Amino acid sequence: MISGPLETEIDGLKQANPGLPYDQLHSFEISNTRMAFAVNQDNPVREITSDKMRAILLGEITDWNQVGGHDLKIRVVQVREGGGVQASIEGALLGGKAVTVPNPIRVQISSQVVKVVEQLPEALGLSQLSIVKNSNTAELNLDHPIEQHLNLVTLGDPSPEMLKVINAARVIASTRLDR
Amino acid sequence: MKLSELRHTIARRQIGVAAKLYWLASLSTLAVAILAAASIHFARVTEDAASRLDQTGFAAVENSGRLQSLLAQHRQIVESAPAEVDRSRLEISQREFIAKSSQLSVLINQLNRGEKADQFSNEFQAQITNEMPALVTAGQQVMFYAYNFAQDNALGAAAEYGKIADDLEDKIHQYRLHQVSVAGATVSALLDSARSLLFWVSISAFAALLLIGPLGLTVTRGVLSRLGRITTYMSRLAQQPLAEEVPSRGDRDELGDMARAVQVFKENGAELFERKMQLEQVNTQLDLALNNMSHGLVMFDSNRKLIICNERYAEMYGLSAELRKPGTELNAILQYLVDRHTFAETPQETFSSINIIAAGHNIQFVKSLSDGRMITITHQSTADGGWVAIHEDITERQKADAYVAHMARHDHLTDLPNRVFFREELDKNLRRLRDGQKFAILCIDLDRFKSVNDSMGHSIGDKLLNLVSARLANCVKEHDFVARLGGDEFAIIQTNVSRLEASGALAGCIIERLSEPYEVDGQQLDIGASIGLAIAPTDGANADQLLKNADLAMYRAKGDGRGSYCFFESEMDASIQARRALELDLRGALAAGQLQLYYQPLVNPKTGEIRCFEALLRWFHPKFGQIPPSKFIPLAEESGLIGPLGQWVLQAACADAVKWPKQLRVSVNLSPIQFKNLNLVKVILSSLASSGLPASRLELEITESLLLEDDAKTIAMLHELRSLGARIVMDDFGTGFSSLNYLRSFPFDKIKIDRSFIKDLSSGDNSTAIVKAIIDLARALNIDVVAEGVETQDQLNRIVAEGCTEVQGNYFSVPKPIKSFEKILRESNGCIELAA
Repeated sequence: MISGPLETEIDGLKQANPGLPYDQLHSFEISNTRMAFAVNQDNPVREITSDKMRAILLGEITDWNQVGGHDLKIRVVQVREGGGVQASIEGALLGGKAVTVPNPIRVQISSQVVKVVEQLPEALGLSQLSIVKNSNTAELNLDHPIEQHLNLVTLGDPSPEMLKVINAARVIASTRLDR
Repeated sequence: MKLSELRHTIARRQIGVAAKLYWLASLSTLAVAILAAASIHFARVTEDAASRLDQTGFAAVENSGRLQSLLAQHRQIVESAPAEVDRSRLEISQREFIAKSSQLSVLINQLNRGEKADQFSNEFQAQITNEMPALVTAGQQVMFYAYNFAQDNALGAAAEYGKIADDLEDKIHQYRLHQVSVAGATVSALLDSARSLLFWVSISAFAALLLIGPLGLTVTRGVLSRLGRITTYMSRLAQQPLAEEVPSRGDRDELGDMARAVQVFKENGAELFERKMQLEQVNTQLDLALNNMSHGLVMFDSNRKLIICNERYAEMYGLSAELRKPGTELNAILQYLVDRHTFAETPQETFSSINIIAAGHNIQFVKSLSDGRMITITHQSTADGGWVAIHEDITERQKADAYVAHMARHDHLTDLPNRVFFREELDKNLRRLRDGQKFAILCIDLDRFKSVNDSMGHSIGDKLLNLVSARLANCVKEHDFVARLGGDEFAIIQTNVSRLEASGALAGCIIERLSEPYEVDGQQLDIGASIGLAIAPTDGANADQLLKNADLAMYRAKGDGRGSYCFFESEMDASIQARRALELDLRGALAAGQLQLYYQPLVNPKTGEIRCFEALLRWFHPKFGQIPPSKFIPLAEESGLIGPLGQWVLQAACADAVKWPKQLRVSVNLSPIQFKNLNLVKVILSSLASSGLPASRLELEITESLLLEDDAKTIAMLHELRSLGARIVMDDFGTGFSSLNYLRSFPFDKIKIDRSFIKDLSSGDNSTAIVKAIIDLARALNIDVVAEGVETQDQLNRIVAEGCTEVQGNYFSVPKPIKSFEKILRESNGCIELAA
């Protein structure tokens, strides 16, 4: 399963393993979901423009009072290795630039993002809509939402059994994931 | 064997069982001492090894294990912290980290305390002590970074922490191995010590076994078996005397001494046994005597505690077994008796009487019990200050005395006071008599009782007397006194008599009440009563005088026709006394031969032939000469003497008549009183049988008065007599109120015209017509007619002229003894020469 575009993933992989048969990889979209920015319940900021979000993620805006919030330093919470969410945001919002913020908090898995945001009033978590909705955090709405596509990747053409799995995953995703 | 001999024998004894036992016991003690010393030595060695093992080996191994475990927990807390983003959990981990760190420090400090630690251990302890702060510091950094979500830093610090921890774990592992090695060496030393202990114990046990064998044999064979025989003998001896000798008595050792001592005890025991048997016999006899005493016996000591009491005593007072035990306090017994209200007296009296006894007085007194018993208690002090008391139940004796006293003063049949009691009461009333006061004495004699008693038997008579007594008791008032003086004589003292009329009323009431019919055993009985009254003090100043005068008055009443009462009058004294004296004389006349039968012939007036002799009783009084029948016959009838007199007359007349010519009959007069005796028929039969006289030669004369009562029994008796063959003659015919009627009531064989009619024949009055009518009537009824009292020729002629078949009177012969007629009977063939 990949959460970003197949090409982006392959580019990343090629840097580490350049000799693999990347041309035999085929992606099958299972579902698409929306990226979501999680803030602490005590944070009064609920709306933000894509520009300001970009400025935050590029380290240009560092204080919440710059976007109508409390006088607190913004601390971005993200998964340590980046992953599909960060790749989608960087692709859709930062034009391929990497997120560059002072003193970020990096966690192991995406569920820990909202867990940290719940405990830190100054936190800004990069996550998916379904995770944010199921947490005790608030969503900071962006004027232009960012979508994320979830795909299953096969090596070569999928077998009938693979196709059954792909279809089953699509059925499950349609009931579980928020868009 | 005596005790002195026994002592001498013991003194001469050689080395005995005790010396052998002491020697063997000493050897045994020595073996035990060696065993103990070896055991103690190796026990100490074992203890030291165990102590070392405990303090160094096992403890060190245990502590190293605990250290390893604690460090692992410490490490797990620290190394899991970086991945945790939940601050609440991190806070918990932080607290646990601090706690574990503290426990590690404590445990390490404990390791340092070991006194006997070797060099390796000491070095280990020094190293670990030095490294612990670095470990804790690294852990703290991990916890800090994790709490601030600096996972990268936390992971870096955790890596550093891991290095230190790895090093420590390695050191602990090495230390643990070292300590296990040390513990193994210690255990080996412990095993060596145990083996040595086992060896020495085995040696000691073997030695003990070698010693115990002879000891056991000596004890078993030399002591126990012989001792067993002696004790068996003693057991048997304890149960019964034994004639056989004590076993082992000849042995020269301690058991021999014992056997000889038993022999002495046996001989002494036999003597004691014999004495005990004698004592038990005495005790048994004493118990037997005590417990079979009719009296209660109890003995107390000077402390008022029970020494002994017999069963009779306990039974008398219902004492429980607990209270009969020797040593029981007297007060406990008394309290028990008081609680049960045993004594009629008050509790205070009971306890105070005991104080007198306890004071040493020998006294006897009678106690009344609540249940009516009377107990005589005799106290006798004893020399030791106690006392013995004999308790005798005199209740029955007193009852018997009272009964005897009662019977001495009461009539046994009616239970009324008897003559003695009556006299006492009379005297008492006389003594109490005050001026103006009076009381009456009523002497009551039952009329016709003797007849009832003779004819119905004494049983009926006794019952009748009881009924009479009851009626008398109902007639009198509460303060009056009724007594039976004897026979059918009763007497009453009527007190508080103010007027003679009251006494008369009482007498009248009694006569009326006693004259009412009685029913005894289904038979109706009729009697009456005659009562004489005397008034005290008017009619006598003493009891004898009063009784005598009341008795005289009673005789007067009887003489007046019975069924009446009569007050005493001074003039009746003489005549009544004379009559009374005559009655007494009459009672003795028969035995004295003063009575004699005279005979008067009944003659055929035409032929002069004597047909019959009428027997007439004559009494020749030694002082007053011949007493006329008109005087003594009523007396005999009143006194009841008519019965025996009549029987004598019958027997004598029959006895005389049987000697006469066979055509001659004898006529005997029967009183109405005789017919009250139902045995009259038997008396007549007996007279006929004893004399041999045929009944047909016997004529029985009755008077009209017999038939006045129209008694069916009388008529039945007459019929029975007539059926036997005797002839029944109506005497004094014509004088009754309904003479003709009597002829209808019974078929008389003969009637005797009363002499009063014959006497008046010559005077020309109605007598002739009456006589003629009687003769005609008799002829019509086919009844013989006798004219009695014929004294003159004229009377004879007139009678003969009227057709009379028999005559009797002085004209032919005055009554004379039968001897006077012997010549006539013998020489003139029984015919009297007629003057005409």
